[in-house]
Amino acid sequence: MAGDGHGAERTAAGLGLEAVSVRYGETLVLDGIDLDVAPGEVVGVVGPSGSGKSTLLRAVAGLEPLASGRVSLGGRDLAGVPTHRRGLGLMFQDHGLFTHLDVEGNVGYGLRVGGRPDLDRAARVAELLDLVGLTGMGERAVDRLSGGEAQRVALARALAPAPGLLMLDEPLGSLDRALREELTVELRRLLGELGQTALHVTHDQGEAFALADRVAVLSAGRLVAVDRPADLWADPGTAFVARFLGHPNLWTVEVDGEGVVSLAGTRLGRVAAGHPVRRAGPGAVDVVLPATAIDVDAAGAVEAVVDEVLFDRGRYRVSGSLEGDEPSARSVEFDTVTGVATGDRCPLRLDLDRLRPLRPGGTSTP
Amino acid sequence: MGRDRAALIAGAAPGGSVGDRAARGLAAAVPVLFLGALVVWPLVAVFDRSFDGVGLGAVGDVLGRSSVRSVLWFTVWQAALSAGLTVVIGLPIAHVLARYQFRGRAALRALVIVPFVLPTVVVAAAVGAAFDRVGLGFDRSLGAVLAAHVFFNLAVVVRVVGGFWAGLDRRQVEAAMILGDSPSRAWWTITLRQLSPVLSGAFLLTFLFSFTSFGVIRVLGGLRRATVETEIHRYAIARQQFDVAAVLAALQIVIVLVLAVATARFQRRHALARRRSSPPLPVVGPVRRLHLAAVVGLVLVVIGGPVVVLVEQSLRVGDRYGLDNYAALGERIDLLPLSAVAALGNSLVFAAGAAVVASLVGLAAAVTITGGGRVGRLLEAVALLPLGVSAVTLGFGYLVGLTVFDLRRSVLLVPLAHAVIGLPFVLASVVPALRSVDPRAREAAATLGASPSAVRRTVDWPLTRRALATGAGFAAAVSIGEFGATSFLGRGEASFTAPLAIFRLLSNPGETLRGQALALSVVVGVVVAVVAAAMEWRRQPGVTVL
Repeated sequence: MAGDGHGAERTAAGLGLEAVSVRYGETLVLDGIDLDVAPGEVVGVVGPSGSGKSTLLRAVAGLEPLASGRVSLGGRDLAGVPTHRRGLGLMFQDHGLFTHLDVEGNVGYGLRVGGRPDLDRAARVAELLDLVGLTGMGERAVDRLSGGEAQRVALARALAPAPGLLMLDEPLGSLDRALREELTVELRRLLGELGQTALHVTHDQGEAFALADRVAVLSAGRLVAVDRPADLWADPGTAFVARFLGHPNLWTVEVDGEGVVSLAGTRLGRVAAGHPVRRAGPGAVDVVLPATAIDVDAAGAVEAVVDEVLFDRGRYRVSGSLEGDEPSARSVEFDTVTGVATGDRCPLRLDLDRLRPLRPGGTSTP
Repeated sequence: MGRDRAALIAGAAPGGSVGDRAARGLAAAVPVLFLGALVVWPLVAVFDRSFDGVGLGAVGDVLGRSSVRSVLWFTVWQAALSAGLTVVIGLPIAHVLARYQFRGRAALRALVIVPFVLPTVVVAAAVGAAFDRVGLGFDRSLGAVLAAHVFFNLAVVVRVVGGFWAGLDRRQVEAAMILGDSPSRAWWTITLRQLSPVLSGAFLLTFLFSFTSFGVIRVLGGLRRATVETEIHRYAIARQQFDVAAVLAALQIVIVLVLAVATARFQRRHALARRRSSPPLPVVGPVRRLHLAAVVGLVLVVIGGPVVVLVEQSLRVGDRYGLDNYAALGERIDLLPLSAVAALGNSLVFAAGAAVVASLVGLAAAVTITGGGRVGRLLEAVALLPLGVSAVTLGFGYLVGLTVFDLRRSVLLVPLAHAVIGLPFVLASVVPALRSVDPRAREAAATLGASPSAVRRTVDWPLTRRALATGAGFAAAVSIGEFGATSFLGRGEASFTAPLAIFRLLSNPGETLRGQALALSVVVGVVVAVVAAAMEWRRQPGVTVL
């Protein structure tokens, strides 16, 4: 029943950004961003700090003037439309709750300035408090709330007027890990049930991957990748994105005409014709191999010496070195559930089908 | 671009309507016109008069007079002595209030802080009465002047030094003691050194306030003790020599501005970031108990003493006690243009008017100041001028400057002058409150559909109205006791105020008049203290006016 009471009012609007640029003085903070968010879609925007993530949200909200480009919501050009007439919801990391109002006053704020009648408003506030799991807490003072409760109130406040687009700016950034994971799941379910179009900004790519239908990566004000989480993970496209997502195994390999791939003189295996790495060759090719594409296997073709082992929640995260001539190029990281120790020699099986070439990224390294 | 963004967040552009921009322009124009007409123009007029009337050579002539030089010299050394005494006496009080946790701490603090807003003539009357009662053998006028200055300015030392002291990290002293310093040695080598910039800052502020002291000197200084302030008044009012008064006022303005700028610079340079504060210590053991008792005793003597004697003497009728002096306040006497009670009525009406004007102008100024930009910064500096530039120079400036429409004879000028003097209190309260409004809350309101005016109404206003009430209350309290500017402007029945009545009663011989003066002092003092205490009690957390 979540939200359907007023579902008719919502027009899940699509968001369009065309060549959007924002300038602070001489600096281009956003540089020609093109991005479309379909109605009901959740897009996560990630990037290192200073990459322009929050500016992107503020530009959409009309809190930041555009140097050039166009923002449209539901097909309507937002140029010249002030923030308060854009029909948006915005949820901040430090939530920006109104300290002089109680929970109910906060959640009902957008309905009140929107001129909703009192009765209708009370019903809607109660409905939203149910939705975010704060039933009956309407009269609490906001400075008496825990961090998680404050975030729920901020979310309910942003959702109350049924915004065409919900924007989340590091919504869970101030919470501890366990609570963050709990709320991520909840938020995911909620956005899905409501069919809410949302733009979600975070520096935590794990959070973006968990929440978003598609993930957009920003670097120094430019959009360097947009894709579904699984696709982006499997094929980051550039070294910058691969590193930002936390891929450890970035190599420069040699590919010959037969599809044989070797790293610093060590033969890793052979890729089939038509494999993207093969198409990028022959010669030296920058590649990435997900840590999960490497298994410890007695029948493995490659052997690595274990340098360091980190036990992490039931798995061993191992970094080692492949045998070869060039020490700098032969480090490899992988996970295993079997115990290994520093100095062990591990036979490895590499799933080269998952090897992907990297374009030279035209952006800064993280 | 910073301003672009600020304007954008406030909703001015690109969606800001013409009406919104007009409202912001008006908000800037009101305080600019107000301060321009009632602060800048009168001060300019003083300079104009001092050069125009007597010429540059004559300026030197006035300053060369030995009488003027001795007045200047007395002004300087009494201020230095007052400041030194205040810092020395204030230091242990600041220490106890900053470091110890004990029952009655809030009351002790209020006892030290509230005198800062008490009317100068009331304090002078109290201290004078105390000196008469105790009958100290030394020079009464000098001792009483110094005691009165200490009475006022202890609040400054306790606020400035105590606030800083409470923020000092005690672990440094503890580390020194672990390394082998004795507690007293650690105090000299660590604490005093950490405090020295704020001690100097408190000294400078107290020096500035004592340098521009007027009411205290007028009441207690007798015929021989004159400062630059009282000389300006004497030349302007008693002798009607505006030219000489103008030269003295110009000199005063220059000295005060230099001092104020030096103080502000000094404080900015030494504005150390608040460090981790240590929780206050419980008072346990004989040493701390004795220490606390000594400090409480000190406060009771220095501040409580004059107050108790004032009340006691006001009840004195011949050789018995009674309320006769209070009863007589309602009667008309030849010495005053109207009864003391009616004068108090005038004071209350002026205070209400001054508070309303100061609130309206102050709110408009605060909006402009917090909006940033050149106008805002200029306003902030000009609006704080009346804190340094004395009320006397301001009052004199009105006499020489506001000649259009004969404004200087208007009754309205008294509450307007009081509003100017009260404005810094309103700003001290409202500006921090407005700055503390979370910009995210404003942005959230805007995304939720609140127009810029709705944001101001539903977010800014609820969070600042209490601070505005506090500032207005202080402006009223200050107005009730204002003496310096009113001495120049208060003439005849309509603009005769309670402090003027107290002064006139005190400066004429006779036990009856003295008794009435003390009774009126008690009434005025109680009214002001109650208003100030109520404001201090109800103040918004984090907003400090006094």
